[in-house]
Amino acid sequence: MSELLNKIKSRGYWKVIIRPATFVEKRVRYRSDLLTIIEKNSVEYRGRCFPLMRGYGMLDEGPNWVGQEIRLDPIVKLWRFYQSGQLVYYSAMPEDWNSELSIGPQDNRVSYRNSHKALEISDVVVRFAEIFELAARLSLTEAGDHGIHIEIVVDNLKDHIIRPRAHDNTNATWVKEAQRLPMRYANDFRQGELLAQPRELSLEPAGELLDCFGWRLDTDILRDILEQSLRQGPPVARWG
Amino acid sequence: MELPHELRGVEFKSPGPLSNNRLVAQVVKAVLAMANRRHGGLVVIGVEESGSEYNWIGLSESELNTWNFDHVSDRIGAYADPSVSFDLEIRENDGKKFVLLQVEEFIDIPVLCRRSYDDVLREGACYVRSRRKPESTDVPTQADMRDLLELAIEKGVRRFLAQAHSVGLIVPPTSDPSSSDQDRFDQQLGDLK
Repeated sequence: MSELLNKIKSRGYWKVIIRPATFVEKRVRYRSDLLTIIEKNSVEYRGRCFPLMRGYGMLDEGPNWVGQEIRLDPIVKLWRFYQSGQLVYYSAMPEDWNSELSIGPQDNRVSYRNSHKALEISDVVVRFAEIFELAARLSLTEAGDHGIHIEIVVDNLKDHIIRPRAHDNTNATWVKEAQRLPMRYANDFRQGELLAQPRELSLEPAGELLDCFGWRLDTDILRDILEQSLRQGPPVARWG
Repeated sequence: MELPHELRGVEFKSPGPLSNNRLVAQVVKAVLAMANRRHGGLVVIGVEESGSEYNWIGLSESELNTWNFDHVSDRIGAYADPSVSFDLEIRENDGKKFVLLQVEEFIDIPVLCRRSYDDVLREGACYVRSRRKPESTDVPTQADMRDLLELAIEKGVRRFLAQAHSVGLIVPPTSDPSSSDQDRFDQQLGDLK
């Protein structure tokens, strides 16, 4: 476990914690129900499943949790879901574990090639929406509570940039480097508030991360980017 | 672009023109089933099933021209109750062209089949993507029915909460969770904290 966690933390990574407001050790009465809950409520936007990825890594379990460790570069992640209703999730940035995903020689528009890993604004915005949607869904299950705590950390992105899209003819001045990291976000929500508008709530931390890279986009623009990205839908849109 | 087989969220259909009523009925069945699935799904037209293999043969230009969004929408609308939201996209792969229907999950209530077509569609049927194998079928098991009902209930609850929130019935939290709760959650994480 610590070896995988060390690997994840050695480069850019996401850490997410979703948990009920109050601690009840056996909030989910039977451990065997944990997998069902996580499987039914995993979020699948744009073809990727969060957090459970069937077929990518062995499922694991402990005395009061189920989890998964995935070591298939560039997909490197782990998560655990406890009977207390707490979910912890760590994910490496795929861009860091697959050189083909970095800006390469084929991309002559930018001067960062070979030295910077690129994230796309839309991916960042969708990632936050996935986190909040998962929290909303879990809040309705046996693992939920009247209040939900969400914590997100994004770190080790010194050699990363965020750009609008992977393949558009964007001017290099639109490509921005990290100016201040780590990005730490933590907030408590009422269940009803979270269920009512998870996507809307996700825009604030998404904006915070983008702001760390010098992208100051107002909420209307972020909302448009999110809606447009979600409309692109799952797998095939990303195969081509 | 090629997938070796269908998935729960992806169904393949043979190539053909929109005037092929049987093909359209099969596409409609897949679209209705995808609409009743969480996250919706994708119907790819232009892939022929041959035994256990799939041939990505694509559509001819004349076939492709018939798959106009408005016309497809009319054909699907004639069978879907309530209506289904989808996007239509033409994709090229290895010089072959395919029609992709990106179907969104239902908005309020599950989508039912409004009328029958031969042995393909049955009036009143509720098509889903089966848990057992990736196929569009009438709700096959109680577990599939339960999934669908839970999704519909969740949507209803969330719609109500969104309305309640918009009129100010849901107020933000006034106090932080106690530090002892936080400590216990942190302790539970051990190295993962």
